[in-house]
Amino acid sequence: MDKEIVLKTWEVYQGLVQGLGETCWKIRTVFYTASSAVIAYAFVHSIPFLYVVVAVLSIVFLVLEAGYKQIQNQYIVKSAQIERTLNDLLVEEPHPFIPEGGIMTAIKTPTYRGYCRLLRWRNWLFWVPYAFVFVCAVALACSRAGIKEPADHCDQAMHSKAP
Amino acid sequence: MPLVERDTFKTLQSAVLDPKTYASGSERQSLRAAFDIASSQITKQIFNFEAETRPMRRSRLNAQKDIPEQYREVIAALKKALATADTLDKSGGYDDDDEDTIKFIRNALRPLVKAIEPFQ
Repeated sequence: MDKEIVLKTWEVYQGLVQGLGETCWKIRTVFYTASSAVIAYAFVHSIPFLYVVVAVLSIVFLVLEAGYKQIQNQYIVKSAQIERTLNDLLVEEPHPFIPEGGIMTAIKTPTYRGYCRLLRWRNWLFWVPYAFVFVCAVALACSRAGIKEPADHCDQAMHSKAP
Repeated sequence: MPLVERDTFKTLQSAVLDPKTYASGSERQSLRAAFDIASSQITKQIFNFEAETRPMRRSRLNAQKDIPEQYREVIAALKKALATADTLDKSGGYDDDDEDTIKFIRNALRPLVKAIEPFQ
């Protein structure tokens, strides 16, 4: 078996994994920036509806990143399979392992099962930040944080007229 | 003298009987250790060599030309198990690696345990 082809394939898979990893981080940073900006705007301008928007945003970004992560995981698995081939070549296995379907970059589209798998406890580092922002947004919306009560206005008006 | 130490063989047998339990957590770690010890003891007993790592063991095993007739089945099963044992080292959640370990126990470890049994 030609070692060069196997090695080149491994490099291609690694490059794809790296690129997809960077995309995942970009999605995550955009989410952090957008959600904190919207929460701040909602608080300052007393618009509770925007807290709900943040809650929805956290679900949308979670689904988006999970989709990319599923694709990345497929390439990581492909890369691990090629590593098995490389190890077989290293130990001079008479019949080195060839992955199912040979060498290919084709992947499956993200599945519902894949999304569920990413939400397992084992992957808590992935979903906990989204869950945290979601819970905070819901809590802020329920407590109507930043909303000025009409009674406060009356009190303020009365106090200002008093002298 | 048995091919594999009794306690080590017992762990391998338990894994074969209950693959799901031995597919994750500390049980998987104990299975990994038992498999590495067993494979090392087999090569020591049959070929009188021990290797530091699994790939080195595979490499030396592949280089062996004269395999005693009575151990042919054991060596064939050991080669197959060593080639697919990587799943015991995984810990990430990239795929259903628990299922991969279960597959390893069913397809590679079970034939090995069966092949070792007559020599115990």
